Amino acid sequence: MEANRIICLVDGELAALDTATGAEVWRLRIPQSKTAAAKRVEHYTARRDAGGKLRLFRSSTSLAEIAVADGVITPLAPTPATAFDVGTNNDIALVQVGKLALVNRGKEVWATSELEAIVAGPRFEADRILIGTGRGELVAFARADHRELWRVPLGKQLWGPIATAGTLRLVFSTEDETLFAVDPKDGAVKWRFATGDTLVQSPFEYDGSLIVVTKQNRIVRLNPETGVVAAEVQWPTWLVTVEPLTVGGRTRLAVGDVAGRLTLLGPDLKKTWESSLTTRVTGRPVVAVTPPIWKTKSKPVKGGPDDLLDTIASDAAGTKPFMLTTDGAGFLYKLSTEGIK
Amino acid sequence: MSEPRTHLPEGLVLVLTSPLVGEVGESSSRVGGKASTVLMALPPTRRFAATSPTWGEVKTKRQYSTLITCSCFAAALLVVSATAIAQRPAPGDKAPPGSDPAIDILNDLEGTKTAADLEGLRHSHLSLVESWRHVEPAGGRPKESTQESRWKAAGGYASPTTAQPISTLIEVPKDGEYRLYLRQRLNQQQTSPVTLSIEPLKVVAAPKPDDASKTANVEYASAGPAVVQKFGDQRLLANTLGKDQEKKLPFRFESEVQLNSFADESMFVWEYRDLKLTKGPHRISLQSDRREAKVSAVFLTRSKTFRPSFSEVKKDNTLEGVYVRYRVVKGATAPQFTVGTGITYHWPGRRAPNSTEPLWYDGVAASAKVPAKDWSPFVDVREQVIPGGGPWSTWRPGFTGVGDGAVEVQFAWAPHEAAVARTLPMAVAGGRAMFRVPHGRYRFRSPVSAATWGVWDSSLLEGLVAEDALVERYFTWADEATRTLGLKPDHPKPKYLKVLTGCQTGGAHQARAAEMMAKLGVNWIPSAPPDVAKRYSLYDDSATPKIKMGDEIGTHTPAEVINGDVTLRTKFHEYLGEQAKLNGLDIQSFLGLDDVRVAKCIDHLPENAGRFERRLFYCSQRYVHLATIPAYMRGIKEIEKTKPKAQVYNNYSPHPLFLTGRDMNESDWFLLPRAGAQTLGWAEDWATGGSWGLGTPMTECTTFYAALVDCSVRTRGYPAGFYVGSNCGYSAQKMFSCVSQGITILHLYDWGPIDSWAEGSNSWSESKDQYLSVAQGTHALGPADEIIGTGKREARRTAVLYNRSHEIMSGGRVVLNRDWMWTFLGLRNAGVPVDVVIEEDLIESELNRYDVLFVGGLNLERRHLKALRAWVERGGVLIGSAGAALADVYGDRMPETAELFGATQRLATAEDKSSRERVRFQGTDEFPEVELAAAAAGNQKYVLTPSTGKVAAKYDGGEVAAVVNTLGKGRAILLGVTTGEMFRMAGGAKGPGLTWLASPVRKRLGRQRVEFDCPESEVTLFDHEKGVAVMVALYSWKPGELPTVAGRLSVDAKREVREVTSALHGPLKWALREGRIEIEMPPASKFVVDTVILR
Repeated sequence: MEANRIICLVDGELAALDTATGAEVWRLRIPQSKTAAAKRVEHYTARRDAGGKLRLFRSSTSLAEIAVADGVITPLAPTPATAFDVGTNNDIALVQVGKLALVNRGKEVWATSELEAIVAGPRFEADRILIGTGRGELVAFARADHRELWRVPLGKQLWGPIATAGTLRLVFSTEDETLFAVDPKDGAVKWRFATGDTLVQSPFEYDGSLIVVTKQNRIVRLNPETGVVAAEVQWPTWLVTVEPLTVGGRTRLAVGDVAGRLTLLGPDLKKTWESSLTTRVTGRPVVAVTPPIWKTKSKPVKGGPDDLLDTIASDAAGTKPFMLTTDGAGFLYKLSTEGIK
Repeated sequence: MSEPRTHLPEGLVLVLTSPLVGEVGESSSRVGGKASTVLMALPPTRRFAATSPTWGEVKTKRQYSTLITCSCFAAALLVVSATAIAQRPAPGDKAPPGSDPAIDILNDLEGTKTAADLEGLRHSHLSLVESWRHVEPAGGRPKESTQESRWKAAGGYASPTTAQPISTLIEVPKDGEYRLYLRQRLNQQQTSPVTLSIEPLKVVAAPKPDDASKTANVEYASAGPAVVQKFGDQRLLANTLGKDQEKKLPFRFESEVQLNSFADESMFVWEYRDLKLTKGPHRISLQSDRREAKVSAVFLTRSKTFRPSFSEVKKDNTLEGVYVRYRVVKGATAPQFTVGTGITYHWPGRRAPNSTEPLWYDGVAASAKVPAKDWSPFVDVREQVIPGGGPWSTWRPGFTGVGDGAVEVQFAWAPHEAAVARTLPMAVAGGRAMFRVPHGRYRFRSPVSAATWGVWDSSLLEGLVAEDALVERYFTWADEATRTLGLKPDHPKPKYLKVLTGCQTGGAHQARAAEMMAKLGVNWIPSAPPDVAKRYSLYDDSATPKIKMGDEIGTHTPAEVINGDVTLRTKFHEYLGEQAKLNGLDIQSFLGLDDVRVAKCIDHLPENAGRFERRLFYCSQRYVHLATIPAYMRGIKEIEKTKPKAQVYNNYSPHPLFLTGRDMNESDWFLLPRAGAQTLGWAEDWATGGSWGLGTPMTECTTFYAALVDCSVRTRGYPAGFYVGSNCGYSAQKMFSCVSQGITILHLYDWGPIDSWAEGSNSWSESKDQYLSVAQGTHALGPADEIIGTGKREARRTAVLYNRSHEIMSGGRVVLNRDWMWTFLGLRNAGVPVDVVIEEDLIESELNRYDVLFVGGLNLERRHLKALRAWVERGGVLIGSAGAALADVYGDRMPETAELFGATQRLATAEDKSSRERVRFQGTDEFPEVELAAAAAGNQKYVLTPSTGKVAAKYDGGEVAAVVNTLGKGRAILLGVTTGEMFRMAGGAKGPGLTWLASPVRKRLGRQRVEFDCPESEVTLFDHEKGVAVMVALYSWKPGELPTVAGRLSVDAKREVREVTSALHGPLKWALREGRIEIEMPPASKFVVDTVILR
């Protein structure tokens, strides 16, 4: 959600809805050939920049940015990317079939040779870009000229984005089921945490700690400096998402699960509120406590991405806080937060 | 004349020539000479006469231009006169009432052509300029062509690229007057003159009588002066209806729309001249120095009113039609008859307009109430014939008012008897007949080397064949096949083994066709007449009918279906509970769910799947198959209500797992028979000598397919059958492949014959070599039929696991089923009887049947691994291929595997650098000392780190490639390579991989009961109180390199033997040595299958 826009997928297509009314403001129609065997698929990513501004990206045959206000598309790179990160000064780091490239305003600045699978990252640091390889190594390339600054072996089968924990960077090994906290300056491993399973989502910082959510139904609060467990909760069913929220001035973790439970946890991971939707929660929902003010129906896309909200956020203004959620029947809800503690 | 002509088109030039009146220069050489010399040699004409085109004279362009300058009016008269005469009916023709025949331009389109004139269609010829000599095809000149290109074809016409002439040859059938049409693109703004000459020829060298082509060597020489005509030097008239232009100019437009509308700026028009031609060969030449000229076709006819047309409007297109009609010659049972025709298309089917699906059936509308002695009306069948879809279609006219007798069918290019091109007589039985119709356009397609005549190419009509001739050919092939075998007619043929094939000829031929099949050894012919069935003791299935529920079935019920069905979803949740319990867990621990009802069946794993997701996925993928069982169970019960002894089956295809797919995740061959949801095992091979044979020699993959079927029925003791793909070749080997795996119903798929059904690629009736192959198979089985059909197949003490768990969880990572197949076939080549087993057989009672087990696949259930360990400790020899049981079925690593094999294993990666090109075995009893190319399916080799296991082999880089771990009384052998790929890459049966593969088996089992010294073979032994039969089948990539000297077959008969005979070669030399029967076999190069009988 950004300003008066709710960005979501409707029938598999990215759309912006008016926050107040739920009316569709713009929608990116995906052209489908009647004759082509394979359906065209576009991937969307929502990020917030350093200033907290929402940015939307589309990755298909090229990488492009989509303006939140009006859906205008601005090409960023002429080639598809399996992963990317957005840096300062219009720099984009792209992973393209085993190689890392730096692109600026659509032009390639440099690219590494195709040497190995890149399965984690990329991630911009001030003067460098980090990636994880299929061999389980974390590598730092100089942002200026892609010199290899250092290479550190971590664990087997690294996977996913490289997240932040204070000054440290977090890399996950799916085969070892271990989270590594690394100093981006030299790759030194500061701590490691055995997760016991793969992760539901990237670890994130919350109220001075680090939240790790595993597919073994664990929500763990770690000390970001040491990796020591500060608190932990074993969820009774599969977690769909865990999101930090500020509701009425209080910081909370909003937890959605496959059973349709919507729960708010306090910083100590204790339950402060719980309710249930009648159907399975999808995407990244947050809790509903009162009947929906409005809802819009979209048809679930067979074989496509879930009907989900890409990013959920509370109303920063806080005057009349509300929350959004989607459910398994394809409904998008705008909900009042009155009564939440 | 209806109106005066007040002006001539600018630059109009009409040059009329006739050998009867004008003078011509010396004609040039025979065909192949330079036609241009003819044109250049034409002298100026000395006389001009304003007569009709029929009697036109040679005139030069310069002279005629002079005429125009002097008297436009005279010139106009010339054209008017010429046109009028051209339109005038022939003497004796009747004009339509109330009309002026000279001006009624639309007569022909309105169906008022006179009968006498249309009789002239009998002498018509159509020639497409695209196919003339020296015209380069639209797609470019063929590489092998040495012909000089003078014109170039482009989409229905040709244009000059040089000023050199092009030509073709025609054989004028009769002296007389002809109308010569030239179809070319004319324009309102400019002319594009083309000169056409017709030169009489004489034959100077004819083909020899024994020359099969008859026309290949015909040589011609000029027989007189050429007649030269100038075309294309008149423009289309602007703002003038087509029909009005026809009154002014010698043009013919092609459609009613063109006649009643203004001419296009540029369009194709038929321009004509009337002239006289003499009987005999002629050369027609075209020449133009105008590259924009676009000339399409030449049409010659003796009809004046027939309008040639290639119009896109079907009703106006008169030259691309195909018409058919029928007549009853004998057998009419009523004063009138009605006839309708069903049409069957064959591979690859016909593409109907706007359809993406092939069309397999069509028909010709019925003609009703035709007087018995008359022809039925012509019916336009161009849409059924021209688009094709395979080389021919099968036509089945059905008559009412006709019994047994004879009929005739005629094909014509126009709906007139003068346009009939072929009359086909044929038998009719019970009012039904059949004939075959070739597809495509019948017109001349390529440059002719000899003079021809006709609208259609008569050689293309040779494909129009009645059923009588078709089946006669089959009978001849069958006779030849049995004669080639050189066996007596009463040679024993199978009785207990069921050999089935289709035999759906027309009623007139059924008895003979069934008899032919019986003589080939087929003993189950459902359509055989009762007397034939009795005479040949054919199998009668009425007591135990074979009933098929599904063909080429998939057993995968998509997760979406299960999730959308309350009952299925509830049962799925129950299944999840059972699986949790089987693992000693509750649902919460097993799936991480506090309420199983939220669990959805899933069809794919998300990236970065967690443990609970993997468990749910594996269970889902098992359940999506289990969910199909109840429907088939209900089907069986329904069938058994009326036919309690029915054998009910579904046919499984190798497509999803080998040909177009790569695993059983869509179609689990084992599922339904194992569950009792079909009571007869069944599959098919579709195996060809090419890629559909999976690279196996002579479609040996069929043996593995048959073993899969045997595995599916083994536990319940059901019988099994197989569609032996005779249509794909190698019938004899395939029959042996099947019988060697316990299959007793061989449906030779399918004689049909091809014309009896759609989709003719299923039929072997057109495959002459398969008549012999079938006879070889049946005659080699026949003498041993009772032993094989009612005896006992030698026990298999070795098995290869078909690991479905691997396919579900790791099939996307590495495909192994071909590796299992090669392992299986390698063992068969080594003379080892072997079974295929599945995971549910990995229990004590089943495992005890075997001494050696080959296991591949990255996943295995923990309980199965535990059973394997116990079996090894009891004395079993387990051979695990690269990555064997690395993880459980949910993807979690299993330390128990490392304990079983005495080694850990890790996937070797390219980054490791260490060389793993070769692998050397040494130092153990299980393998010979040998160095082989290191090979693994998907090139996924594993590096082993021994713990308790003893190193048996190393890669050339020094890493461990094989270990042998002794456990109790048995051995667990782990390889970093895969057994099937090692065998294949080492050269298959003829390579060193054979001995290597069989070594641990022989070490455990000792000598096999049958040993044959030609490894490119499979041998199978059957025991029976009346004797021992050993089936021998050869499978070779290079049959020409099979041994030409006598072979050695060694058999441990376990009984006293008094005689040894070959089913196909009679008594064999043999001797008893060291308790074994040593038999001298015919050279392997002399047979493909045989059965040796020891009594």
